Amino acid sequence: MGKVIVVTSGKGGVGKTTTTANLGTGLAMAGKRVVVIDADIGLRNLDVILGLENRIVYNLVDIVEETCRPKQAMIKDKKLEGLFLIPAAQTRDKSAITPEQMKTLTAKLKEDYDYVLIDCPAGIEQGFKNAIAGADEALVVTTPEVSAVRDADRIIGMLEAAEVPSTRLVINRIKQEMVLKGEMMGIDDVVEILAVDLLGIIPDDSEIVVASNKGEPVIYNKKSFAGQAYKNITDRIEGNDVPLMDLNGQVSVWTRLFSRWSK
Amino acid sequence: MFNFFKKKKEADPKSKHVAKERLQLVLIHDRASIPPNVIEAIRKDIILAISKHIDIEPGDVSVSIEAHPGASRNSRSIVADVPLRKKGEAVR
Repeated sequence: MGKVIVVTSGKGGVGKTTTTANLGTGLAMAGKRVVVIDADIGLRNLDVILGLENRIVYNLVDIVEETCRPKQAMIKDKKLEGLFLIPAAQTRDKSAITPEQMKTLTAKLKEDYDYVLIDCPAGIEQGFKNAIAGADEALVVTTPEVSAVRDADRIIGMLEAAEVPSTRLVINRIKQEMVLKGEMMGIDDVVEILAVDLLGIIPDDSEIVVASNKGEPVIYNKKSFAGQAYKNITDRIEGNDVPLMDLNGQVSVWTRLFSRWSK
Repeated sequence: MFNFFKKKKEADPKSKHVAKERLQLVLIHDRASIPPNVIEAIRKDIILAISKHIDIEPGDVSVSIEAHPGASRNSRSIVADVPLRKKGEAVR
């Protein structure tokens, strides 16, 4: 029996889709059978991040409306045998599916797959409720900014109220140079405020943009910091104990020295 | 030399501390999900209840939601601050 993990955030643009794509890819690279579902109906993007936009025939709404069988809507990844994408419908809206339908679909999928990852839309309305309906676990993605952390807090509260069994935090786009200068909240600050378990951290990395340009998740780029960070998170999801990445190593010696005074 | 840095720090706190403080404050209210008009109604009732027994200044009474430092996410209290009047020494 597999596990259903929903990737949420509240605020848009903090890296939910990128995180879903990379963790799905990472788990499939580790030999797991994975389905990633784009639950952002009307604003689909997981397909382009994975580079599968040209292969879409059926979508999530077609499955729940039984226009097609689930297998027909599942797009096999270009490289990985065990990775499948269920794209969102682009010409419908969030009311096209219900939480019950999502529950039924994810329950069926986790019989055959090790992981079902759901890319949740931003916001706290219908789309969010659909996406979390069948989740065994939620990942909350945030960046170290006031607005993103505030929205993450609200989402954590809603996940608790919806009785999602486990919620873990991913802090994305950390600029360690700014953290050392005292101009950005650090990992400890965000974890202290949100008071949830930390699953992983991802440094700000321009390779993310390059990866999305190519439609090839950054986790394939083993030299990139973000790629390594996603690999670490993948390992932790698999239950391995991996230490947090040392972000200070990515900052120049001068910045590190100077930060001792300016803290 | 170190005094110079200290002074600068006090005058211009690093923005991450500002961010953290602002967040902690705003989240107390977000998490409480008690709207300000309800807090105001509670405040008025407290003034009424206490005024029956002792003399207080209604303008000095404040009611707020406070988090318990170090406790879990949902641990909060409603805190009412009701100062006694100056001549309240007689209350002792």
